[in-house]
Amino acid sequence: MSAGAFSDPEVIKAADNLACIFIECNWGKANSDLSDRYGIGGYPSILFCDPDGKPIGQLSSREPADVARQMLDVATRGKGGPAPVALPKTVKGLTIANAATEARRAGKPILLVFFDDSPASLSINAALSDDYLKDTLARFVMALAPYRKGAEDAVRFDVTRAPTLLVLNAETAKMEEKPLAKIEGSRSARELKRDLDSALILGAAEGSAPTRRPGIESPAPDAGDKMSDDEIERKFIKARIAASLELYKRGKKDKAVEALEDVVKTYPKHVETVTARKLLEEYRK
Amino acid sequence: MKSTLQALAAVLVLSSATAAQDGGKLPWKGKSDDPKAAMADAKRAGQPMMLFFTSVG
Repeated sequence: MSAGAFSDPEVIKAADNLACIFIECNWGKANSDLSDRYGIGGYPSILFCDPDGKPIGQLSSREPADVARQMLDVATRGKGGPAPVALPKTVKGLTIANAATEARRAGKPILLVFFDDSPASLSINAALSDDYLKDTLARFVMALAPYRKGAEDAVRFDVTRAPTLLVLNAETAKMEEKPLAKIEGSRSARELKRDLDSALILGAAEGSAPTRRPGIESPAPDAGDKMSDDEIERKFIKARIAASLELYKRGKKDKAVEALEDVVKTYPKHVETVTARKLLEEYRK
Repeated sequence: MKSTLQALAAVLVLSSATAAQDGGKLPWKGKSDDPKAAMADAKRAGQPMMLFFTSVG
């Protein structure tokens, strides 16, 4: 969220109709009860709630005019105005079994979303509905599963909370045992795109469906149908550095350092590792 | 040289992300007091809320 939109006169005027509440989280060290309650996974995050504190949406645009429009819309709906409270667009998906069949047919990985009615699931729903993710999601077969603690699917895929997103290679015998990615908690569309792109790269590196099947688009190849080993390593290292930066931003310095140490250890001579080393030095200061 | 610039860019990304979280000029409640009290006030007033979770500190 840019501070620019929050300083725009139109947005300031629209704010008259809402209680704007600033929640300083200090990288997880403050107001963690509120962050947990609303499933906040990154900063900044902006949620709209009715007067009882029930989430009714999240900020869907960063453009001042859109922000103002959404604030006015929420103000009307949140006060019990004429329009019903609208959840974000519903994400559509197959059952797990049907998704596995379709994934094998199409040569795509499965994106399995475990969800419930928590605010964090609402946020993920909104992120998955964002057009920003449209191209990325087209590379997956989407599957949905309602989360219930201890339910058969939750146990099978070792899922203990919602939302949880799993990227699965349907071509492996027991896809539940080795997911390409496991994403837990709330994410913005941008964060989700980064995580899913990383999973696609990992899938390509492991030789899973996305780059091996003819006619299937690989994750942003720079040239030709197949990425070279160097290109895969380069993309993997960059993804790890991006993940490390995000972890650092969230106050998880130990995890951020761990991610970079892993890069340095695994790819000690790769040219991209220089960046990881420099960043590691910054973190350790 | 390239690597130094990349490291600097990474640091700038971190600092700009922090700078973008101050909330601009909106009339924030809970900025200098308890946000939960501000939420309770909004509930009493029947006012919808915009919750801005941020990390400036």
